[in-house]
Amino acid sequence: MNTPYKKIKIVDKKQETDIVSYFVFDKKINAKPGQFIMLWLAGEDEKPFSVANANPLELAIAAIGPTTNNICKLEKGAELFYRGPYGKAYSLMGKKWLVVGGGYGFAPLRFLIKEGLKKNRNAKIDCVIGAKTKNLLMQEVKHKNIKTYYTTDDGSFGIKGNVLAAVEPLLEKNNYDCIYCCGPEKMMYQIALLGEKKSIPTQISIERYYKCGFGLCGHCSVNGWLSCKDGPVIFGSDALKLKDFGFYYKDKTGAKKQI
Amino acid sequence: MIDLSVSFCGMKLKNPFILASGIKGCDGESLLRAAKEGAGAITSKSCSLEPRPGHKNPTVIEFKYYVINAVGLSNPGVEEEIEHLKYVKSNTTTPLIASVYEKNISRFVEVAKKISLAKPDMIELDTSCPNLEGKLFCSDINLVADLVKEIKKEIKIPISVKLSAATENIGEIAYAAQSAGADCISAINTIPAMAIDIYAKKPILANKYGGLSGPAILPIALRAVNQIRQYCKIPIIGGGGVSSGKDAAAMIMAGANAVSVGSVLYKRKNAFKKLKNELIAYMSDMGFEKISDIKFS
Repeated sequence: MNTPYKKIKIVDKKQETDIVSYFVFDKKINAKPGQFIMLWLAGEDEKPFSVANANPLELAIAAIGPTTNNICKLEKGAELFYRGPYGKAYSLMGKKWLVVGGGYGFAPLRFLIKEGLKKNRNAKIDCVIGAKTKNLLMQEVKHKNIKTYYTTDDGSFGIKGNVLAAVEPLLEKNNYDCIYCCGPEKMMYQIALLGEKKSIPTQISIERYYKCGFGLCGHCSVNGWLSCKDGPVIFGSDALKLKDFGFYYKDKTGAKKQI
Repeated sequence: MIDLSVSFCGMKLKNPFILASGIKGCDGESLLRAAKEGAGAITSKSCSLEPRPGHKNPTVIEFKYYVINAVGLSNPGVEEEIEHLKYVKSNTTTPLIASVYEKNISRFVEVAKKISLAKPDMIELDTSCPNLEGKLFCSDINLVADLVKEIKKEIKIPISVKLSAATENIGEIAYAAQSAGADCISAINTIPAMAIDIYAKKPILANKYGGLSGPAILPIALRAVNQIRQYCKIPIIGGGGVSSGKDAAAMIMAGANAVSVGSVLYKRKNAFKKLKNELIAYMSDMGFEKISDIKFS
């Protein structure tokens, strides 16, 4: 019997933040920034993760539940299985970008920045990396074309406040061809609103509980928009038309819960 | 002019393609999207009295010619589902079939009574989900007959019973349902199955066993529907692996009044439109004008 899964081995692992383990695997994947895979801890559970790098495959995994905690305990040499990639990727627009990552949501954006600079060497990028506190900040991409700003809710590093504390002044002073954002939904909602106000195309990534990952089961529906197949990447202007966006998600049963 | 419309159990369908239960979930807006995309009728995912989280992932796995799932009847519970279905009813004229599931007759009656409040055009009794502990509900012919009798005492909305080809005597079970007052039979549910990853050396589904759907099961579904047709006069919603207009024609020829589709919807973009066009092409080729012209010679 053929299997939809591919076997991957951990070849490197580092602790990126207090909760995020960064894994490097032994294989490459044909995936674009914003796409995700379903990672199977065989015999236990399967969870979606956005691709943090394609060649080789890298994943930034936050230990936030029983399965992710168990994955984060794995060391070099351990084997995992994945299927995918699934979903829609970010699309590159223009050459001046504002990239906004909240918490471990910055992982796919870092991949986007690297790919974006490969395709457009002259791109100018302002990058805002936010987190609750210093020890949860993801690492920047160091490059002459990138200016990075940090924010922390508690003021332990960079600008005190959420990402908006850095994003709002940047939007006052600069024009951007596109805003790229990933992070907590409330934050993406605010960024999408700002993008609308400034008439700047904004691409965000809406995550939901996935079962199939390819548009069959409908569990990830946000008002009929399927996060796994129609997304996860979506223009902010389209996301704002989904009335649950920023307010409600669905739990494992499919019941609506407040975000 | 080819007429794709079909009417049965008080429902008027613009075309015979029905969104199968479990596809696109319980969400009202997803069901509406299927209606907009051209479904002749839409079936909601089975709901139960209380919310159910379903099984752990992996729950749905895709292969070339089939899908295996053990979602495990995850649903937000009937109270929330009523709201979804009311929303659907107030936003489309496409007939709505509400699927319900419960583990015994009294609970089945209760959930069916509750879902009636949303005024669906038909209620489908899911007696054949293969992803649960124990025997299939529909494997006990007397239990099916008793269930239908009890439901019919309480509910005026037409009732369809969803059966499984995993029971050897599907025709007899359908006949028992018809005799007990069922208005329609829906067949088939997914077929009990298993997927193994030989490299991980594990069953893939967290639930170990699941239900097989997709093109691989079409011949099994055809046989089951044809068996039911030999036993029953009531309408049949035939489904299982229908992926093209020609598959649908075979299903109708086997004895189905309408055709439910599921797995094809993610495989083919604009699936409802393509299915309709293919069915029209076949009918035009054969000189058929209406769906009832599609029958054995």
